[in-house]
Amino acid sequence: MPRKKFSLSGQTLTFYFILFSLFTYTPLFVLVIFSFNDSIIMGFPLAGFTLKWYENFIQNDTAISAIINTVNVGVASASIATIAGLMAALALVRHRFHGRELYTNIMMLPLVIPGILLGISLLSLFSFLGISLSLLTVMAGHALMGLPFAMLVMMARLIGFDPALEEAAMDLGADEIRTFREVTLPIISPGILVAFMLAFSTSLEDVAVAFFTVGYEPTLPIYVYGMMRYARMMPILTAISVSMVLFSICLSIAQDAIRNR
Amino acid sequence: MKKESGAKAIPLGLIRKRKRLPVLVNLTPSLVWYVLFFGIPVGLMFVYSFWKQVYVRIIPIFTLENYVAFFTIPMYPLLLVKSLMMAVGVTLASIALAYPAAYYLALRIKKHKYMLMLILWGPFWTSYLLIVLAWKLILGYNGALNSLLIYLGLIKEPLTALVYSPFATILALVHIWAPWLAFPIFVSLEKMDKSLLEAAADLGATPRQAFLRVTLPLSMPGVLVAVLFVFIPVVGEFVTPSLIGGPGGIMFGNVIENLFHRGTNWPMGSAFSFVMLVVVMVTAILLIRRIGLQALMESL
Repeated sequence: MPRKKFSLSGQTLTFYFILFSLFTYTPLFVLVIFSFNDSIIMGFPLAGFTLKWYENFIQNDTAISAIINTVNVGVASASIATIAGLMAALALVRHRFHGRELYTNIMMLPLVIPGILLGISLLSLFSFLGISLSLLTVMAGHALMGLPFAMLVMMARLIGFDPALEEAAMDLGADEIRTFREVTLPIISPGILVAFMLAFSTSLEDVAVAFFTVGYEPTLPIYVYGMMRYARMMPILTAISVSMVLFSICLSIAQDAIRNR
Repeated sequence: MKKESGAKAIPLGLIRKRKRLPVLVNLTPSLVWYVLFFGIPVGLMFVYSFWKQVYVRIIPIFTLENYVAFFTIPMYPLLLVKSLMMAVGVTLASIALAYPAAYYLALRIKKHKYMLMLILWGPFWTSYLLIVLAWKLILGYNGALNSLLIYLGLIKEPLTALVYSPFATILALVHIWAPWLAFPIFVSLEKMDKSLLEAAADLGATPRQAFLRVTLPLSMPGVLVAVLFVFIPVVGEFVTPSLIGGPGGIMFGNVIENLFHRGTNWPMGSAFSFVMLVVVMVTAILLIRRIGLQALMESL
């Protein structure tokens, strides 16, 4: 199948690209259409335009508090992941020490372990220690998931950073803290933002780890996951989804703008 | 690094000595977090896997019966194999779908290619739960597809085999991962020295030969990164199959989830998790060795 493509003209590829984009976006179109459809039945023919599902969503206290929970968990876990990731990256990129490579590889492990296993092992720990599940336990897991991402982003940034700039600052009499604040930080701050947002969106998206570590207060994905079993909740879920999509798109555009700066 | 130390041997030596403490300080937060929330939990899971559960109590007596159960009850290894095969299927299908799109963007488009890539990547930023929700709406018995087909007069009765099947699970997972996969493949194609293709053409290679001998091998790092980040999460899937997989779409992750979430048998769940962990780690180590850390960083 892929062989054929090369005797084909560029137009075929263009056509394929358009098809692929359509495939990518179709489910989103479906969500958008039904979120404005004035019927509890999610089918054709469409029943007419309404905003009531969005109103229901805004008036739904559980959904709103789930959003607040998600944002809190996301900000807290992404902050921890970014700070710890930045510090680790500083040590790993700037210094050659024994076990450096091993440490880097170990830090990568949560990236390549399915979320279900991270979630289960955390659940085992918390129940073993008698810690009751809450948003804090979710946050602990999310920070762990975000850490390798944050560290990789920061390492990539720091590798392209010329240490001569810092040496120059120190030669000119700045101490280490001042050098870090006035030379290093401004140069790596776009990287810090990208790392933060990557960790934040990891937290925002996660179902698997939160599923096992969440207490009585749900995060938004856990709330949506629970409600997906009820047909009557579907229209509100489409409204929540579309709102989330818009938010994520803003987040990714912002991230891309920072990355290209 | 070494070149510079010749010119400024003294200051660098001083700096290095002063920075030995910062290495430890800088590694402490990540180390503490990993030990507390990764090392100990996984170790605990390993220990649990050798214990047994009687009703709701977990009894700390060494036993191999959880592992014995895995290997002697055929359903469990079969489900693991099924999950692995579904993951292979999803990965291959996603690569097959994403590769031409990435190729088109990287090699055929001149303007706005990053913008287009970002647009293509958009759905990945929407929580994957929403994509599953969308497919549930589309494929459902009274869903968008069935009702549309009936409305258009193409069918009389709703098609039943759409949602709640392994097919629905695979479709949703491919849809979740294919656009994402396009990105690492795009990056490696983009980095490729385009004059190599001209050289190949000058030396008489057909476009097909040039693709197979030059483009494809050079894009392999991107493809392998893609494999790493798709295959592994899909092996551990339990959310998607539980929502749209139906009884036939159950994966190994659902078995583990059941053993844990209903509290029925944590030690057995731990043993099963450990089996999955070993399978996944072997795959990951083999892949990362091939890719290298550098390519991994560039793909983010």
